Amino acid sequence: MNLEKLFLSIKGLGTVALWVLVALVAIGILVAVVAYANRSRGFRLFLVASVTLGSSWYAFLVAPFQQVGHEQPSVAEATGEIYPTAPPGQVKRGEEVYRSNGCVYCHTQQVRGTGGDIPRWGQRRTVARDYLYQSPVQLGSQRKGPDLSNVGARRTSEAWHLRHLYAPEWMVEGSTMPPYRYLFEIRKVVGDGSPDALNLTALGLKEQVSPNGRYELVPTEDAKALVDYLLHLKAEVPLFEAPLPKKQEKSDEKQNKKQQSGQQPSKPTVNANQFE
Amino acid sequence: MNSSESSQSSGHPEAEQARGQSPWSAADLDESCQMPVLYLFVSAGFWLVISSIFGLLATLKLHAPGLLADIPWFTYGRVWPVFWNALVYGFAVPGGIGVSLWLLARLTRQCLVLPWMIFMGALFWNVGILIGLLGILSGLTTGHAWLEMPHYTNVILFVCYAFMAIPAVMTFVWRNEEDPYPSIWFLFLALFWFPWAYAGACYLLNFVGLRGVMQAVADWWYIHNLGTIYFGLIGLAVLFYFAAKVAERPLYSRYQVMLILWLLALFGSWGDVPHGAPVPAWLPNLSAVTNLFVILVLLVLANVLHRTVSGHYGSFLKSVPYRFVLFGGVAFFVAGIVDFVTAIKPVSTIVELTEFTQAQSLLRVYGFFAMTLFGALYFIVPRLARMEWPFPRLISVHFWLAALGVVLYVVPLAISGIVQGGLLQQADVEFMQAVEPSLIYMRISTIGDVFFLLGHVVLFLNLGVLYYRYAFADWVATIVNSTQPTEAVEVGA
Repeated sequence: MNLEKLFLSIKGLGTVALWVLVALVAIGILVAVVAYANRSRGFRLFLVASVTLGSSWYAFLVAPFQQVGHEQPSVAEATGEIYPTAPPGQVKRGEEVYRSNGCVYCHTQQVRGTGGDIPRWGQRRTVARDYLYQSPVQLGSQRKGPDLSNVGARRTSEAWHLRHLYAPEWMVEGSTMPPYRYLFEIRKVVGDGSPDALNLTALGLKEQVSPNGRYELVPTEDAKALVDYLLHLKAEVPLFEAPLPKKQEKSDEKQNKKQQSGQQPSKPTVNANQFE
Repeated sequence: MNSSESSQSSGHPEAEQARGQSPWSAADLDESCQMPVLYLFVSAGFWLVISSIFGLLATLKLHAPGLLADIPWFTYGRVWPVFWNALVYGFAVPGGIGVSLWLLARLTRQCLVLPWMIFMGALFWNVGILIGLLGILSGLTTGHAWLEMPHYTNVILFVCYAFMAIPAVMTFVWRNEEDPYPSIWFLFLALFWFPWAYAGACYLLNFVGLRGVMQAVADWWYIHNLGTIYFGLIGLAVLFYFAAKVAERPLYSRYQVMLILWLLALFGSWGDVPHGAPVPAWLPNLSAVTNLFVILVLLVLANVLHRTVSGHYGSFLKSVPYRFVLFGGVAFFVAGIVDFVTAIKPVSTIVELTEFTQAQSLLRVYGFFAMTLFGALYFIVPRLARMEWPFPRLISVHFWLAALGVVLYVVPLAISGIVQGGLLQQADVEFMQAVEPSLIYMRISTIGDVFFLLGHVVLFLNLGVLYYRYAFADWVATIVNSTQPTEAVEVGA
């Protein structure tokens, strides 16, 4: 007799029976343990503490994991556009630079639905799905500097970011951000010079760095990767659980732009399968 | 029984009862703790100085962003986590273990089991901290708050903790007091709570690698379990010990003390997920509701403490160690009320994601836990080492520096958070416009950091000199004597 077949034929029943068995065993263990615990106060304390910690563990780690731990990227119905996508290697490297230099201690990466966050920093609030491919997730807890969830959409110029990293106070008046000059190097011009070199005249650094034009200020690979990462930070694709707010002129402009550049505006995805 | 010892513990009626049952005198018990606990304290004092140097450096960078900015090892984003990790893992956790060990031995009337094992654990714990902090400085941080140290240090710290905790559990199991003083239950629970929470969080974050936003949830869960429960349990154990000691009468109700334990364990461990966090909405709501229930802890605690100490509050001011404990107790209430208020959504919307959260963490970790620990440390160390503090007047200096430091750090940062958060509520305010008015408060908090550093130097001076006298003075004297070519030595040989 094929047990497997039999089990499959009464699958529902089998599952119920299995759970009853598990429950009976669990109750048995519990009774035995409680019987033992009655003899020792320390052990009883240990036991109840395990249950307490276990319940918070379940509620805060297991239950949310079951809900959002297996989330998949959304696919826009109209365009087939997938969001979010796995970041390219250069962006991943930039994420490492971001992590290693502790940018998270001053910059959050979360746009809330409240507190003036949306008009200031984003198109919509950020949700769990936005962070699928981030590791470590750098939500942050303080805003000594602005939120960066959408910095790639707000500041699109690579040159701006490089200059800002080199000397923040020149790009943003009154900035308290430390300069990251160690992500750059000053070196002698060889041949036509590096294509990445920063425009010293625009920075007002011509006199300091290279009065005779023999030196150039070049971002390191780390700096370039970091900027690529920052430009990649965009949480503006509408999601089923976080559609774009309706009366937003900015988002309309955005869509117009996309249409001009030959793209269809991505509709909010309503795909029941992704939202189990 | 030693007469001087019996006069010391005369104010502790419940400890008195046990006398007949234990073969050990208080002096014996102290001697068993001496070596590991003094080492734990002196190394904790060392990390405290390191921590506040980095804390000061971090806050100075808010005045001058360019300070040391060209050295990657001293960029703000690395200096700040070094400050916090040195405070939590260098000072608070091992300091808490030290106090727990002494209280365990004293209150269970059992000599500490395997002190050498604890000493080795403490020694390599410090090695782990050193590796971890250097890891953060060199850019190997994990990026998870309160768990920044690289993943291999998690293993070191966990194993070392086991080395310290196993003898403690054995001491408890072999206790000479069947129904020990209630503080013991808090300490016993704390012994398990730290490794559970720490191992769980490290495993999920640094070894498994949770996906997406679950990382942040695991991190919040850990921070709350360490900050509220672990520190809360040890701090309250110390508080109950001193409350009865100062008032020279038994605790008002042991049942209510146990109730506090269960309320704290039950409601305290439910994370503090911020309201605006990008997670399913039930998670921050659940966490806020359980945070509201923590007020029950405060109510019962206020009842027990007041009815125990009532009429003897003045006695707290008589001795400086008691003053530290009193300050810690008050800070626990303030921190609890602040947590209660910020669990309410409209309030949390304003203050979350600002400096306010930092003020809140420091109030709990430093204002409550570290201050209570200082009190216990100043009380315990002279008894353990059997010598007076080298500079007794500096204890009072440290108290004022620390107390003013907490106030000058927490209050300005809290104001800064409220100002900034309030301004940011208005959609048309530019970010820089909201930062500017709050910046002055952040800068005032630097005074608090300076006070912390001075206080810690004072503490370490006392601890270091005492430890030198205790551990090395005889040894050094022997070496110095033996290097002198005296005839007496040859004759003796």
